[in-house]
Amino acid sequence: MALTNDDATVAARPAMRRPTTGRQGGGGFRRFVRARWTLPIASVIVFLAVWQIFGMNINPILLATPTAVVAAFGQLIVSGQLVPAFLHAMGALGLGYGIAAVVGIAVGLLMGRSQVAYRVLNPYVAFFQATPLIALTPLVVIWTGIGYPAEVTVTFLLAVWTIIVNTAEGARNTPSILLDMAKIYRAKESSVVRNVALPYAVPYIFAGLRIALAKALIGVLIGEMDVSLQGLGGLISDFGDSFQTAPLLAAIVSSSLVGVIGTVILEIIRRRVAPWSARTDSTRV
Amino acid sequence: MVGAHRLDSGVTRMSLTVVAQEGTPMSPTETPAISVAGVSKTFRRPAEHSSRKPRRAAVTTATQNIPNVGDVFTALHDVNLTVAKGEFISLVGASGCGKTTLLRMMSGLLPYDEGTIEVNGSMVTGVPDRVAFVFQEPALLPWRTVRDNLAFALQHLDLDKDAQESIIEDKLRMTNLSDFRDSYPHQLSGGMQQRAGLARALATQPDVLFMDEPLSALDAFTRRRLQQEIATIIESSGATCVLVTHDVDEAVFFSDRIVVMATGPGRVSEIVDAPFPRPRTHEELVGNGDAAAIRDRVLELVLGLHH
Repeated sequence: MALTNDDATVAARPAMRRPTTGRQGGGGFRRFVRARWTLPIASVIVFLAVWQIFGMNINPILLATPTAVVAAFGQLIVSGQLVPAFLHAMGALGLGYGIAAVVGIAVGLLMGRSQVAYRVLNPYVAFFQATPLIALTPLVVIWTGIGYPAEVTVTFLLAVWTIIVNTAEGARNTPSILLDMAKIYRAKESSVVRNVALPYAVPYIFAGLRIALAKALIGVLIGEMDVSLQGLGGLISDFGDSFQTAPLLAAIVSSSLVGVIGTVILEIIRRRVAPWSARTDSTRV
Repeated sequence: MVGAHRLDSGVTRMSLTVVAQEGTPMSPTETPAISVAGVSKTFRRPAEHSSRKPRRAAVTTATQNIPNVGDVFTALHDVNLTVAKGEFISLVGASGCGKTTLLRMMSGLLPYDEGTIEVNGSMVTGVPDRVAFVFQEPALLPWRTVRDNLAFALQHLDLDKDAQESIIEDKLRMTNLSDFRDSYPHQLSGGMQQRAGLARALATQPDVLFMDEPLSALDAFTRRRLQQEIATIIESSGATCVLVTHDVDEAVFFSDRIVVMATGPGRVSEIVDAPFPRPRTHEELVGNGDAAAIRDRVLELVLGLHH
């Protein structure tokens, strides 16, 4: 290859510059360390090893070892406790969060497009977003009783406000030039919402949905631990009360798995409905 | 009188004789494409500017040739202008003269306070029928392809699918964008984006085409090439055009008449004719003494250099 500092070559292929200079003098070990997955995997292995050694030397009630957690995990699956609990939690999440998404996007669009709606609704949205809604759980139980509806309601209540706020923010930020353009070409309000404001708000909406997912999961576990004593929250509550640390940790890990699965599903949906929303220049008009 | 057609300059007088030979597009009986009569516009300052020290808004005196009183700003005062069917006029003037405000009011994007504006014989209350607008930025929907951006402008009109499709193909061909019909706006250059905006405007087959500095964001070479293309395309569409520009050469290149506006308050100060056959080419205007004289006259007026 010709001289790499040839101006024309460098200018024509700016992307070539960094790797060429970056790899200079790198041995096999250095390349291995720089590989994308090396450090994260090494980090987790070291962490588990330290935990294992530490756990073997203290009272197992205080902390179970990773191997004990894995064993408990297997045991819970075999005993038929974990899978129904997992599905119970997924169901409550899917229902409560799903309703929150639909209601949140609809109300957010209304607030984003109508100044009157914004002024009327914003005090409540601001109030509920600032309130620690877990405090509402007893009230929800009074209204809906102890059971699935209470879980779903708590999940919904924790998730919906962030979705409303983000959707409204996105719709309100729609560039005025796009709204003028829609006006010139005689778009009715329904078309402006569907073809201009909603697509423009999509990146805001998905940012809100991601935050709301974490909140919704808290809602699910609060509902299960405090109210219905079923599902993963029920297991966590039971194992905690009976000092069974290993299955307790297995149930906790399972609940974070619910969150991971939810995030992955959300990302798949985003790529399907709005492939443009990941681009940084997607908001350029 | 404000807005009157002044005949005292050598350039305009010379121009008028040429117009007579060419034949003006307007005959006395025909309804003008646009008629603006006694139009004024004031803006209230945003509340936060005045909230700290409350002042009484002097609404009544604001329009009396006093541009800035209290919380009211007079953007335009007593504007009169008539545009004939098929005519191309440019609005030029220093920033703050209200040329964009006037354009937005004519296109129905902005309400006016006093006077009347008519497009194709009917009062402008919202966006009039059969008008299109090319914005300063391309104003394309970033999540739609070029083709679908054109379709957006057509989907609110009563057109069947086949007609819509053939119009889109036709306008894309006209603007040399056929190969980019399935591209997204961010994949196009600035000039191509602006051409797509123009194709969208033409797709609605407008009687009146408003353009708000459509080429100002482009580099000088792209701008010249695009001016040439637009001139040809517009000629074949037969639309009446109103162009806001701060480029005097561009105004001379496109326009039958150049409306020079002044500030404080915004108003029409003079209308200069540019009576050359359309469409024009840059080649034929280079070294053309009449064109140079018109350009100098407009520049003089815009810069306020009265001899």
